[in-house]
Amino acid sequence: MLRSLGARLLQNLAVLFVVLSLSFLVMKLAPGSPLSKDRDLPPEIEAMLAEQYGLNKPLAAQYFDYIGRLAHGDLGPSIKQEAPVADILLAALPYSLITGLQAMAFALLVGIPLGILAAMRPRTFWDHATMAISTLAISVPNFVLGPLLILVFALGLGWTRTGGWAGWSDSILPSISLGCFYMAYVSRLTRSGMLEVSRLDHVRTARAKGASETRVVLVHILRAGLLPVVSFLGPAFAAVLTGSVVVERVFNVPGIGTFFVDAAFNRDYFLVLGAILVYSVLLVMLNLAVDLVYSVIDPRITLDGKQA
Amino acid sequence: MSGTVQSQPESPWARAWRGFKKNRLAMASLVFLLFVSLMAIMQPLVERHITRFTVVENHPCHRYMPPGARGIPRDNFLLAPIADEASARADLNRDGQWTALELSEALAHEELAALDDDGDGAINPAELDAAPRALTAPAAAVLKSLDKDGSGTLNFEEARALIDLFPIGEANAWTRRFDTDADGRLSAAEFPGLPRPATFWAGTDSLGRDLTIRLVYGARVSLMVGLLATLVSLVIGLIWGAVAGWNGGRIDALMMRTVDVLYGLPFMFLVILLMVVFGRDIRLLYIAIGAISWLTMARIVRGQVLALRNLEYVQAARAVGASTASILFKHLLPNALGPILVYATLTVPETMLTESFLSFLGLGVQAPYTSWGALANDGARAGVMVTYPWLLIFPGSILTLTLFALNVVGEALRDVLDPRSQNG
Repeated sequence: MLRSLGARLLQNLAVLFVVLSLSFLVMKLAPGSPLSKDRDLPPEIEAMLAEQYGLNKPLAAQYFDYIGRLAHGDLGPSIKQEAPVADILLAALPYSLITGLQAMAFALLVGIPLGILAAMRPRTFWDHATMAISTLAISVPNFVLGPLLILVFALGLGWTRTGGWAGWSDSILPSISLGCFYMAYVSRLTRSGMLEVSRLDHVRTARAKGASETRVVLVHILRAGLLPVVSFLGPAFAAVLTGSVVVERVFNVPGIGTFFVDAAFNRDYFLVLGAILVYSVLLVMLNLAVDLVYSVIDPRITLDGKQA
Repeated sequence: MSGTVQSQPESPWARAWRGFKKNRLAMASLVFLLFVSLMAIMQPLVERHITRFTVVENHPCHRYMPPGARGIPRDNFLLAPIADEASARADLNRDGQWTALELSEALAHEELAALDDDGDGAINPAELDAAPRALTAPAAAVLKSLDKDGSGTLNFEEARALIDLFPIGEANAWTRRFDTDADGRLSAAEFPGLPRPATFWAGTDSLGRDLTIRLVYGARVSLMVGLLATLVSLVIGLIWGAVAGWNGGRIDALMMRTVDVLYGLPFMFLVILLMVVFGRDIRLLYIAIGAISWLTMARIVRGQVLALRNLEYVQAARAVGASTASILFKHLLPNALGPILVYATLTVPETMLTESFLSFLGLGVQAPYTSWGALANDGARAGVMVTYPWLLIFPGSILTLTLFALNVVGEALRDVLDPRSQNG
């Protein structure tokens, strides 16, 4: 178990490295520089700034500089914001994290019961209604849902504010608009997973032994039926992080996504790379957690991906 | 041999189509998609004959007009056939020539006559209420403030204040256009007839551009990028999946493990980065989207190839010395076509969503051209949303409906073509 965990960590480290190097290359190959968009600087000052940020060195030297600094835990300076990247991202991280985790919680807490409801009454009104709603929820882009939620709940009913972040209540609408898609997807995975499992022998045996219907559903069907949901969580986390870029913009959340797009536009190299690093590390950790959960629920699966 | 009841058994495709037709929601979705595609393909014709406003033309005097308001198309004007009576009426001072002022007055008169349902030469409250334009106050209050003679109705003189259909600035520009001898007025030879007003069916945006034709143009971009990106993902997925499934063993394990790892990566960030730094080229857009959407397709194809490659007929083809390529393309893929088609269909809404997502961030098609995501972005701005909700509601709902229809059709196809599958 520990060995395979170590192998996974190594593999993830390699993936992180590749992603970071690719991003570095894309940023550096791009036309423009973080200094070029400012008002026209006198050449000597520009040269001095380039010197200060190491932008005048050859590409390879800049790359190894960056990796070297990274190894010491230094994410570099933000050229536009004149603050260390680590400080900016640390300040922004809680907002993104809260929104993202709440979105996933919403997806699971609403999606799984909906899926159970549909699976317990297959081919009835409840089943069809739940599935139609979930197809609709899958089809509404979060940048359409978000403004609609603002229109109804903030401007119409006045229950929340339209954006910004002054307290927890400002995270409700962003989390719902971010989580809606995954709620729908989770409900479908739950339904199809449960329907598949409910035909298996061990369920019939449990029923034959006189287990109550509640017990059969919750203990015997749900545990195996939820496996597709658990394995979907990894990709879902990746997509939630991506979606947060848009949702943060819609609701004016001061999270990492907001910084990321602006930084890319401004060629703020270290801030972009820092944001990608944070996203990738988050993702790798969440994926690892998902796999751990999976190997607990389903003993047939081991961490290195082989079937035992 | 006339006694044969049925000479040929029903083909699997015919059976699938029969099953598909039973799904009413899917059929309705299919019709909707055909309609949207048709409009997208015929966009130049729609622009010329239906909206008559072009995608890029902006009318500074018609900013934020509500759906149903009217204006005069400028770039793609179609003139009303010369009617002597109308031309004569427009020539207020009877000098046989037309100034911009006269044109503006004549069109305002025509517009008021169009509002005047009962033809009594005056606008009553009910007619004012039905007028498709943004009133700043309730119709009754507006009427009272303009009704100088206290008759309870507005005569055309009084109602003139309501009409900014063809303001003098536009009339001047329009006159200059035809005024070939540049004397500031149109002669009978220069005057081809009155310009014809057209309706902004979906209202106008912040620059006074017609939202209807922009939605149609957006359909063109969104659908095209969705289809091309799906094609790119299909090609990569087919090759990757077929190679992995056909070879099996270590190659298969390595390739599929790669797919597993890629699944968890935040590719979208690389695409955002690519789009930000390398301009917003539409080719880059669909290639990049396609390049991150092939993973599921590769899994499906690999599963199909793996399942089919050991069947007798494939073994037989191999035994008679058929090449790998010919076995793959002639024997395996045609039999795996059902599931591949199903997942290709389901990939289209996914790639369209990605495109609109990027366009929403301002990374898609370049202004003044547009796509549904970019239009939704325009409408979702904080100040715009409340006062001019049609700018969000039209693009948002047409995008949602199209994605919904694509998902419904894809799922219906899955039910009839790939019934064993229980995914999603």
